[in-house]
Amino acid sequence: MAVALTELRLLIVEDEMMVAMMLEDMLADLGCVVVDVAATLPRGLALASNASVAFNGAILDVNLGGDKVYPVAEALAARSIPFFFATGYGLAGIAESFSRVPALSKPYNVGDLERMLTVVFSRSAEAGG
Amino acid sequence: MAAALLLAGLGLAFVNEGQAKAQKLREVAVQAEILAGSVSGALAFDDQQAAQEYVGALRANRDVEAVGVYDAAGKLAAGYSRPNNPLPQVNTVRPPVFDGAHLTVTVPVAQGDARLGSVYLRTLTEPLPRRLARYAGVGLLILMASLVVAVFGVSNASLSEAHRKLQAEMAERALTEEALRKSQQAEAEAQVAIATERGRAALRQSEQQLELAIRAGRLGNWVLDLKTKRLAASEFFRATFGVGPEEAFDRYQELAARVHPDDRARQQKEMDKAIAQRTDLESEYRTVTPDGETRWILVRGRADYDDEGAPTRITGVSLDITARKSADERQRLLLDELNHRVKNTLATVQSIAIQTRRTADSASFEAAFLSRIAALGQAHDLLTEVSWDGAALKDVIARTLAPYLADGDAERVALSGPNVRLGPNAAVSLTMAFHELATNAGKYGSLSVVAGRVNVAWEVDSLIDPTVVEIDWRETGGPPVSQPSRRGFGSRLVETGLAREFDGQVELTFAPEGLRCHMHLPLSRKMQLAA
Repeated sequence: MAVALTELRLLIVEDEMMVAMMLEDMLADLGCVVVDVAATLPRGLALASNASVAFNGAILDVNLGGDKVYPVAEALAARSIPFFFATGYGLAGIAESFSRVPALSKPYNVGDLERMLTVVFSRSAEAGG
Repeated sequence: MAAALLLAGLGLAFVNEGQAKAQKLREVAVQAEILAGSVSGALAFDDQQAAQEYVGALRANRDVEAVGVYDAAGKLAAGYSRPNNPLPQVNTVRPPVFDGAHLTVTVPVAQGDARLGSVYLRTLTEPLPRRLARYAGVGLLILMASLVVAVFGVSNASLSEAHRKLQAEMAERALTEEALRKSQQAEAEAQVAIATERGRAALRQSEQQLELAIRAGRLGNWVLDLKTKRLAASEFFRATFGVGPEEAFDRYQELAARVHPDDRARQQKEMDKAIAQRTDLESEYRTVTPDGETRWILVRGRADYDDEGAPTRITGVSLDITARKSADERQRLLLDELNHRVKNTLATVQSIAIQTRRTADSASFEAAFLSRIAALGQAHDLLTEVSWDGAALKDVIARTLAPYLADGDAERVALSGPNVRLGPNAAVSLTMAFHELATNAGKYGSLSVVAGRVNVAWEVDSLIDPTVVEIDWRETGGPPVSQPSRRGFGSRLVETGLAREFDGQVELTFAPEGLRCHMHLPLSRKMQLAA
């Protein structure tokens, strides 16, 4: 089942300024709305656990200046919000408990990103429907 | 009477022969047992040279025709044989065999319960001419006695005299033979003693060398009896596990209990596999010492098997490889980190390329792109100088403004503030941000004219907010500034990107007298005030 990327309202957690800006641009080109960008774990966690921030998906960098993003991932999982990782550590760098979460390897291009969005959010749409 | 004498003589010869055989068998069996004892060490350590020395020592005994030492598989490990007395290629232990004048004895070589191999020893029971001479002597006596009886007929006295003489002579003969046998036995024992002493000396030497190698290599050694599960461990092996000399450590269970729980199943599997497939055991596992220290241990060993092919024991050495393991771990972490940084840098370069293309026209793309990549390179140079830990904020700003300081007009740029240290990401981001500000100032702002100046001041105000760095970029003396018609890459990077990365606020003010940029950046792990 195809998912309309234009319906996606996304939270980005990414500590590299330049990478976050590129991701924002790529998502804008794909018609997605970026609700907010968090560069630190505390801010990411605050946004992910705040029910008043309206978003239906998230893209998480694994390493946030030395902190691991997993608490954010747990908060999202608890709210059943689908997400995937974007990481420079490669798939082996992801903790065992999140090894089933899809991961996009840096650097990626807009095509890789679009495929990942489609896979992750179609899957969640099927699971939800 | 003559017939009775003949019979008695034959009987005597027969008994005599039987006793000689039994005596010889005892001697040869003792000789074989001593050899087996001597070569057990050589077989255990697979030292063929030592085994050959023990075998060679028996060369002095001329009765020995062939002697061989065989390993546990029954294959010849060392041997010696006289011409026309070939050694069997494969030896099996079986009861002693007399064939003619030859005696063959085979005995197992063992240490404790473990079967290490076997010994094959073939000797002459007695040289044939000597035995013939002995039989001829006895035969001649009997013949003579018979003649005496036949010729002198009925003379009782002479018969008893002859009989007495015969008996005396036979007794004398027996004494001579007994003496001869004793001297032969003494000679054989002396030879065995010499060989054994030599063997012991060689064994002692090889044991000392092994001990030296074990100490120098910090090797522990151990033997595990696979039937009784008893463990014999050296002091070093115990020390590797942190086991004191008085603690019990002689059962396999006690060893297994000290293997790290996460490694226990694997360690057992590796040992079972080595035993089943008859391969060398090589296993690396962790142990936690009673002091709570985790150590990595490398164990190498090999199993022995009995004649039925059942494993009897496993012998091996151990080595504490904790230092190597932690070096491996450090290297792995470094490689992971390097990989992460390279990937992130590539993503940053990609981002710069895409965003430069979005905001620059095709004529200016190359120059703008290369200048930004150069700034990125500059940040990496600076980080390398401080081993990727704690670049100074002042150095970051100074380097981005370096092109405008090159002419010796340092008074155009003033930098002041406390020593603020930056983590790798913060250093890269601030380099990119100040590069945009400096480039803009050089192209359109105060640094585009000779009289223009840039003043950068930063402070951490301990009274107002000790957790925030306030950075103020102020241009003066440049051409009048007006609000730009559209927001470029630089503005977005500084105002949005930088603010987000530090969870702070950044404000650009296009004041007519000169551009101002105020950064309100909270201190964090990535940006700290140096003590």
